[in-house]
This record gives sequence, C-alpha cells and structure tokens, in this order.
Amino acid sequence: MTTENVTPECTDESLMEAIQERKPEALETLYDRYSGILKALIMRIIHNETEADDLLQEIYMEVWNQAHNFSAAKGKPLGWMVTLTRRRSIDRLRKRQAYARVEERLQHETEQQPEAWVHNTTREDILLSDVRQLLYESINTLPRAQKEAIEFAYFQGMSQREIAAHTNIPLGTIKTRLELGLKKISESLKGLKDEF
Amino acid sequence: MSFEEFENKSRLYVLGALDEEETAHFQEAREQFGRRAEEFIRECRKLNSVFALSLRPNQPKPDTKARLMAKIRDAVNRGGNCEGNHG
Repeated sequence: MTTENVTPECTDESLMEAIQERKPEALETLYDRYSGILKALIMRIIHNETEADDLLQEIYMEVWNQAHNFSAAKGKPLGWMVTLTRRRSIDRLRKRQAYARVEERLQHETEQQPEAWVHNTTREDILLSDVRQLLYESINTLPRAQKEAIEFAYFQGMSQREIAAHTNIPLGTIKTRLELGLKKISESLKGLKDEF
Repeated sequence: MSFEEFENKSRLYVLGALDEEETAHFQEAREQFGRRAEEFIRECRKLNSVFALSLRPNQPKPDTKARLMAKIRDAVNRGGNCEGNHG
C-alpha cells in the first residue's frame, strides 16, 4: 500500500493499512464508505441526531488512533468498526442513564410499527443489496418475541439476566428466545461469502 | 458443555449477552474445544455486522466529515494521534 494511491476502489483492508501509515485520505474514504451505516447503528442505540454525529466523529478518530491494533487476521475492518461503534454507543447510552426513556420510546415505536426491528428499513433500500435482502428476510421470519429479545441484547447491550429483569420474563425463556433467534439468523447467513 | 451448547453460547458471547458467571463457564469450554472453538467464535463475530447492516444507512451532516478531517490533518501535522476521544 505504501507506494499505492488511495482510491475509492481500494479494499477495506488496504485502507486500514494506509491509515496505519497515517494517510488521512484513507480514513476519508472509509468515512465515505461506512459513515451512513455506522450512524444508523448509533442512532438506533442512542436516538439523538446531534449526539450521533458527534459520536460518529469520535469513533472515526478512534479508528485513526487505534488502527495499529487492527489485525486483518482477526477479522474484517467493517466488523471491527461496527463492534467499536456499538460498544461506544452503548457506553454513551449507559452514561446517560436513559434506559427508562429509551424503553418508552422503543415501546412507542413498537406500537406504531409492528416490524420495529427493521423499522427504518424500506423495501426499496433493501433491494439495493443482496446481503441486506437476505438479512431482512432472515430477521423478519423470526417470531416477534425472539426479535425483541435480540433487540434488547444488541441495541441496548443487555445481558440475558438484565433482559429477564427488565421484561419480567423468566430467565430460561429469555435464554431460549435468544439462542433460537440467533441460531436461525446465523444459519441463514451460511450461504454468504466472507463479506464482513 | 456439548459443542452445540457452546455454539449457542458463542452467539450470545459475541453480543456481550452472557453474564459474568456464564462467561466464566463459556471460557472454560472455549479452552476445552481449542481451535474449533476459536473458528466458531470468529464466524459468530459476523453477527455484530449483520445487525448493523440490517439498518437503512443514515447519512451524517456534511460538516461532521469536515470537522473530523480537520482534526485528523491537524494530528498528522503534529505527528500524533487525535485528542479528545475515548482512545
């Protein structure tokens, strides 16, 4: 990568190498490629537009600062960035101690739109990508109770025990819902190439 | 713990949904299953990306990128990292 120019066609791995070599244009390309996805994830967790943009900026700064810790042998750059984004967003959510307010909002959204799990996804957007299409179908074939349990775990960072306490549903039931739901989604992804 | 049980726990582990005691049991099984376990966990990490990709992209305001890149270029000129983040 050292002798190559950064272009929009570069792979994510090449861009990470270029960031490790302190090339700002590589981070800019990575920003153009994934800022929309990462902001959507932040928004889904913290539900605040202004805060989401600030946090997105902080996350890309962390990508820049921590790039030397990224290893392609351990996974894909997108997976690394999504994990970082989710962790920072949940940290922010917890700092705000806003569980109650978020719960109210989620409950309201669920009442408004039964398919709350992918409530900000339209059919038109999904058709843009085969991967997204597959994800949409796999998530939406899950029973509602399984989707909700996964939602608490993924978007609010709750453990099984916390979900059980929060929803007043027996821990064993929550475990079963999560295990079954995640297994179904994993199995539906087996046909995908190693894209993320 | 059977390997099938380990698989179920692995998916929860990558999402951070296991509590402390469960994580300890999981780690014991992880050591026991060795390389097979590590390969399965690596596969499970895709789940994190999957849920993010299921959301419709939400573009940030244009000035967010401008502010970010100004900080990055400033850091390059100083020969260091960006300041004021979690890193």
